[in-house]
Amino acid sequence: MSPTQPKAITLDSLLEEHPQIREKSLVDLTNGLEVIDDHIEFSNPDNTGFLSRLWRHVTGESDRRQHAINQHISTSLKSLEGWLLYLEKNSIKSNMGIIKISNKLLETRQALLLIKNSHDKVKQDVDIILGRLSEVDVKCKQLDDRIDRVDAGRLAEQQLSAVFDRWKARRLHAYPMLLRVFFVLDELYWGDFGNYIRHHKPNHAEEKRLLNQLHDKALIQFEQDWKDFHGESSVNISWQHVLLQDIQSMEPIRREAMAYLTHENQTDAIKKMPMITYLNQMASGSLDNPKLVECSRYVPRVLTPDNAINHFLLDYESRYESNKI
Amino acid sequence: MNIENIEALAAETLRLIDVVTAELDQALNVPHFISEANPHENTINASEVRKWVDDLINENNKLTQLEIVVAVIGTMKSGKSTTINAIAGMDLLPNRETAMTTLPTLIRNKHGQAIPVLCLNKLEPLQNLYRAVAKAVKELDDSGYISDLNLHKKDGDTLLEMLLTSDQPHFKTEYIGQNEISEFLRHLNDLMRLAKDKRINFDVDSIYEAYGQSSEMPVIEVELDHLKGSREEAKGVISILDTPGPNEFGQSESLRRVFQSQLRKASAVFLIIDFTQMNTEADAAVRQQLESVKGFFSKDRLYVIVNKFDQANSRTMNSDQVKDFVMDHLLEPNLVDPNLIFPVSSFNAYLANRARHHMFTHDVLPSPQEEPWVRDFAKVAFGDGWEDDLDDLTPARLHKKIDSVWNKSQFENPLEMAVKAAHATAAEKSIDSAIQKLKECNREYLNTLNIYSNTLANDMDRIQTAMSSLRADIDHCVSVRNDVIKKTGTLISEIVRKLDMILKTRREDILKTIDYLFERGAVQQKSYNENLRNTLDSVTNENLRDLFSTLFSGGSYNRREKRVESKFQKMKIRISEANSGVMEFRDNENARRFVEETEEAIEELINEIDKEIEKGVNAKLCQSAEDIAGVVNENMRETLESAMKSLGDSGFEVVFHIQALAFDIDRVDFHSIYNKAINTKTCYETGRRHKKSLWGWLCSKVGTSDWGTETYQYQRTSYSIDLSEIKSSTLSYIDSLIQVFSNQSVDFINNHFQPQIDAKLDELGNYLQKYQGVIRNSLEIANLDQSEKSNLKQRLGEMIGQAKRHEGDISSVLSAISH
Repeated sequence: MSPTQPKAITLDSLLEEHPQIREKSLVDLTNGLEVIDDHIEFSNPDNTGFLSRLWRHVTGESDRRQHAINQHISTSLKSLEGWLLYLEKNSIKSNMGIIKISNKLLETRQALLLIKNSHDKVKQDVDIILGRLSEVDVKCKQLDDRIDRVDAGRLAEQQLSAVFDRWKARRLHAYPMLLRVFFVLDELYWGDFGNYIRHHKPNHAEEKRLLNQLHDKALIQFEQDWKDFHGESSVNISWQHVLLQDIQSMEPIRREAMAYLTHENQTDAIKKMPMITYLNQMASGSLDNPKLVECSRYVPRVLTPDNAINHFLLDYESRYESNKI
Repeated sequence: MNIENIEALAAETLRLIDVVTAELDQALNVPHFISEANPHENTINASEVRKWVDDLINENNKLTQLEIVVAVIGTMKSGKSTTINAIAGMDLLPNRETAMTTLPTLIRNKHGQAIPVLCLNKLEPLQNLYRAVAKAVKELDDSGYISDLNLHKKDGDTLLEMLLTSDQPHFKTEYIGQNEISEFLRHLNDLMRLAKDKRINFDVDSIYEAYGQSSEMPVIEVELDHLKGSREEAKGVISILDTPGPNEFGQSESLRRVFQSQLRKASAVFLIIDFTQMNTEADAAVRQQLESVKGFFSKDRLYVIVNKFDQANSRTMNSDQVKDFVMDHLLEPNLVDPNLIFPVSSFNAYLANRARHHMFTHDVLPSPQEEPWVRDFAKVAFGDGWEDDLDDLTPARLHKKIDSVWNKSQFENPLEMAVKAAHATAAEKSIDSAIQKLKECNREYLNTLNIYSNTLANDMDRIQTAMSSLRADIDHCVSVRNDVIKKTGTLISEIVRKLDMILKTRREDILKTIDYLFERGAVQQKSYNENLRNTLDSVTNENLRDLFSTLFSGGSYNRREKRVESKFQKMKIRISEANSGVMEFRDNENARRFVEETEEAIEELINEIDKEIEKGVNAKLCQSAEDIAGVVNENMRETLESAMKSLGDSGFEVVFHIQALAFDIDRVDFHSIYNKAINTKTCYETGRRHKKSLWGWLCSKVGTSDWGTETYQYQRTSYSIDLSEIKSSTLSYIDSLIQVFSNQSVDFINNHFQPQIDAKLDELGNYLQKYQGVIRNSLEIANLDQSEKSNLKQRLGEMIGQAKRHEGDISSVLSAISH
């Protein structure tokens, strides 16, 4: 399952390859923004390494590290300004992101008004930020309207087909084959496909049809990749060991991106999304990582194409379920 | 499947057992889900779930504590006991010139058990054996025939004395130490041999049957020296199965079955062949013995140990030639893997391990005067002049020599390979059993989860519809039963009809034969001296050949027919002396000879035909077993599918499955079933001829203890034999035989198949009722408040996800097993 040798990769090209990184980072930054009365700060999410780099990459100001934010209000405001700038620069696509950000914007507006009233010195700064906030707010509303207006089902189908075309065209072959499944499902999760699934009730006929289609497409392509690599053998008993080696030998930036995307803050993620958590541990931990051993209790040692897809889809079922709108 | 894969599958199975049992334990604590046990309710409740957990823990234990059995069989004098003693590093089994193992015995490796202990769980069958033999011996003693008994020259007198002086057996449940064990085994061996003597003729089959299962066999527990600290031990218990040789079981159908079944269960088989017998006159005998065990083991589990290879020299075969010889002359290339043929010296291995064992416990070797094996060891280790070398030996040098003798024995390789492979074979069996159990538990658990989840999502009307449809399916089980009874009834009558047909055809065959034979006697009205030559000329070999080719249609004119023919040839001469069906003899000796030869010829013919009938009946019964199971399974499948469909239509997602009915026909011993029926009517009397054969039964059935007593009369001047009497007795026997086979077959179907059919159909009804109970219990959650429902829904969703993951993982292991 070793990846083909990729050309040198930059953060920009990585963001291009995996558009879901932007989406997840927006949600994570929004989740990390705490608005309490007249106090605004970014709490430190668990998996900040890659996120911080993204943050610096976008804001271009490495001194605005969140641990310094609490020094004084103006720093907080500058940091907030950075967040709004980040939101502006990176268009939000998923309804999950829009809802989270809209709620946060509302809370932030209330906090800013409190700050404005109690700290005369920063009134002007706050007004500027409030202006920027309104712009983002409008943008969010427009996006929200777009999602409501357009045929969500058609968009979902379009994305499904586009993502699988990329896989089929070997654009993901820089990764071991199990990671290809993950990246495909993850991109769908953060895109139009995910929007559609999150919007519908479970067992909705159209949702079921789309999920079945996803299963079939994933299985067909994965079986093809499997066959290319393993030949006729339909069982792999050493995949954990081989995958770990492959991941460890990946370019660090790819590994970091993978660790970032597979990171889940949910409690019991190890049981609810064992495969994703296992990949996360493989990418983020050391070889003797005890959590990796703990994770291996919940993932199969014997893998068949069918079961690999089954595991990933069940993980995403849990993920959709826990972020149902 | 290779060993690494099996180990990976075992690890995966253990992981699955671990997570599934943890999941089931947690499910018991989920509020409003699995109800507490109610003994009056047939449903999946807490007690059922706990039983699943217990079953899975049991599978876990079986998989972590594997019972690994390496069976050892040997041709005559090939050194089987020496091989086992070599593994044990002590004189565990007695060595004698004659075959020593009369009962299969397990030698189980037990850590820390320096002194061997033989445990005998069942005493009664051996006690009965002793009493019967003692009684018979006393009777023989009274009638003065005791000296004719076949006894071991050294221990025989002691045993006889014991039998004559005491009719109370002295068997114990435990024998401690090599001496006690050895004495017991010798005693048992001699007793069994005596029991088989035709003057005593005890039914030794009953002993083999009583000790046929590994749980009932004599077990010697001891630390097997060579396996001390073996890494495989951590995962299981290794036992060596000492089996009677092929020459032994050739004498008993029961022992053959026990032997075959034990070999099939064994994780590896060591077949010991004597190198020194290869390419000698003894070859044919060895080949014959090997012929009889062909098909008892699979190629990948058979390790051929060519023993006594230390006696090879420049004029004998080398290692490669030995392998070729085994492949081409002793076994067949498709029966043995050339990489699993090992020329070794068990004796050298024994000496090395014996010395190693002694050094381990005493740090010095005993003197050769005290223990003769030391002399043998020293000879092998140091060659001639060993006395000097032995005197100035340091322990370090001695250890080096021990290793050298061990290496020279070439015993390490097969032992290591066999133990490793045996472990994998044992693991494969346990994985299969555990994974089936996991599949079953997970399926029923997932069904229960789905039913609760569906109840939360469904409205009451749909739930009620589901309940009624399931009730209808349960009611339908009654008509399924009637249908199955009807169909199996038809099959039974078909079997009986076909049996009748087979038997009648055979009756016709035998009648023709008898008529042919006696006709010649009846038409010849001439005197003995004048007509003997004419009669011989008139019955040519060709005539007989035609007769046999009709009788054994489809078969070639082979050795068996030739043998029977020669009997007829003899008889023909005598029968041709007959006069109008009554034969007269001038003297007693001629009359007796004629009766004996006639009896022998007919007996042989009947036995041949009897075997053919039995074979035909067996084949028909096997086919019928499949047909009957097919009928039951088809009905069961239809019922389950209908229930699944109707529940599915009402919004309940379930997968119903009951293990298909399969009659374990391989384990059924038809031979013993028919013979038991015949033998129960036979009166056992010491010294009587043919008492165990069908022919013997015929004699008792037709009221004769032997033809001679009733049909020929001793007179002073002449002796006459009535042939019509012989014919009518024979026919009467054939008719009785038909009746026996027919009755036994129907009885067998009724007693063996019917209870299993009934149990399977009961299982079907109970299974559906159980799910009716689950749906009924799930209705209680309809009364929960919204927040409780929402919590339960979320929890059920998570548990369903887990169960589905397990389902996929179990399927992966199953596909790996079948891969």
